[in-house]
Amino acid sequence: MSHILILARLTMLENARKQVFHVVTLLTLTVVCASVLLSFFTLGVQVKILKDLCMTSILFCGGVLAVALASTAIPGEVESRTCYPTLARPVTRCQLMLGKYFGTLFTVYIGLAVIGLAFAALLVGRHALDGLLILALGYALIEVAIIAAITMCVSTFTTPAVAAMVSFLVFIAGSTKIAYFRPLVENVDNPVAKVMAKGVYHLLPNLESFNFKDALVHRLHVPESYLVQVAVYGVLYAALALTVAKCAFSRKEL
Amino acid sequence: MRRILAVLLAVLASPAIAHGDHCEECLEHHWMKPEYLSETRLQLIFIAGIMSIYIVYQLILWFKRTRRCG
Repeated sequence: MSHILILARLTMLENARKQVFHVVTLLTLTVVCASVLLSFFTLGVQVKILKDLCMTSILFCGGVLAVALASTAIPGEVESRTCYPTLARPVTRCQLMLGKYFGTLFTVYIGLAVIGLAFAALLVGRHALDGLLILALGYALIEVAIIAAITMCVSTFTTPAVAAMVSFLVFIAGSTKIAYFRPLVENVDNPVAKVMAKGVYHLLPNLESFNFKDALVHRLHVPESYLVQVAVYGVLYAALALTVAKCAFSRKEL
Repeated sequence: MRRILAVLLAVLASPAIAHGDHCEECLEHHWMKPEYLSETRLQLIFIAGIMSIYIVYQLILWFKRTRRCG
């Protein structure tokens, strides 16, 4: 456990120096802060737009950061050959992978925490801060954990560029799975293609389930049983992706 | 410039404005739709099944290893 924590800390320090992390975080922070320009509208609508815009930015920023940082975590170690001295110590490949995963995840969480704090400060200024913000942000963090796990899994098979592209496609397709992907699958005529499309459809993560933007914007009640189900689903999906990544990485020729 | 930006942001966030509190169609969020619930539940059962098989397999391997060493 201590090995994983040390590796996670080192990965966090390494990721915090990457340009992509600073650029994406600052860009999203700018969008969130620029939302105060919407002083044209009456207060109620302004707060709704603010919440909608900020939550969309946070979800997108989290996904992009998870894909960008996780896709280079393991291949970067292998390419620069820095994993050899690490693996020569009493550190297993599984520990190395988990350390890289949690380090990447905590880096993304730091970025999202900064943006979330700015968002909360804007809501406090408009007397519109409520507990639903924590709910929406919490589930956005679970979504990020799934995307990072999928990216980590894909990056053990392929190059960083392909891993980033495939993971980003999974992120987009998963975020629009039932609203757009399902009608497409149902309209396929060829039976073989339909079976394959259905297979891909069921393998994709249902990322829409983690989007509680509507609940935050319109102050809606979400059933607790649904929240528990979605949280368990998110944790298990990430665990499955990491298990596949662990199996692939332990058999990989380094 | 500020007005253009505000209008642009308003267009981007138009679902939030159009989404009135009394619009029944719009009030159907994903936690109320059966297809979302069934899909999440189906995947949950599938993943839980695979993970339990994997854990049992790892436990069998561990028992075999410890018996051989003992």
